[in-house]
Amino acid sequence: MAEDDQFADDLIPGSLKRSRSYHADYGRKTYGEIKRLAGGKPPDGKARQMKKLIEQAQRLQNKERKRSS
Amino acid sequence: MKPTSSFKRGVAQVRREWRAGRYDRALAEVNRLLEGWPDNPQLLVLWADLVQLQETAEGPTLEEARAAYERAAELDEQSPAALNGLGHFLMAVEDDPEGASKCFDRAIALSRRLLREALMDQAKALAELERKPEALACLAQAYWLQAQNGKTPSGPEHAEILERLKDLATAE
Repeated sequence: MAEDDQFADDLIPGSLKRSRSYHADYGRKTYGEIKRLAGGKPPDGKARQMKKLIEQAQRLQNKERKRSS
Repeated sequence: MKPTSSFKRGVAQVRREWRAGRYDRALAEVNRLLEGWPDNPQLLVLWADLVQLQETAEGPTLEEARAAYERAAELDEQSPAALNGLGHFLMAVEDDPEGASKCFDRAIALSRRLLREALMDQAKALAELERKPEALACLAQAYWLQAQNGKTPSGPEHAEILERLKDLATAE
């Protein structure tokens, strides 16, 4: 489970950092900051993409745990 | 034909490594299994999922992961798993909600159809076991699913459910 005070770079695996949705300049922002920026008006496009990468990594990591529970 | 036991053991090993967070080992095991069962849709989906969890920037590319989902969806047109995986990939990795939505649409339609068929078959089995209320409940769910299919509740599937309901209602 991603915590709001974790850095994006610690939550996005190296492989997903090769995606066009990854923005290295947002790597040292926390998940909490990214969520706030992504939900802002207007939303921050880079934050929105980074948030989706974080959530994709979380979903895949938890996929097998969910299956076994 | 190869024994399914070694396939099952291999997949169980993949899942154990995955749950332990050892994604590199899980991927290595999928690669090993793919040598024996190339083009297996279940393995292709596991492979595409695991590629995205690798810490190293070397190794298979995200384009290859996408291609594996697409191949799995093409090989097993009846399974929603690959479409779901591809939908999430398009949404998150390629920031393509339109493409993702098309995949999820297809996955929903397939899942609904599979569930409807299973409910109809279960109703038949329960009726034979003289568990009529449960059989009726299954048919009611199947009817509801059909009605939620985005179409007017008509056509052969709808007629089949109604026919089964009628049979059950009149059965002793």
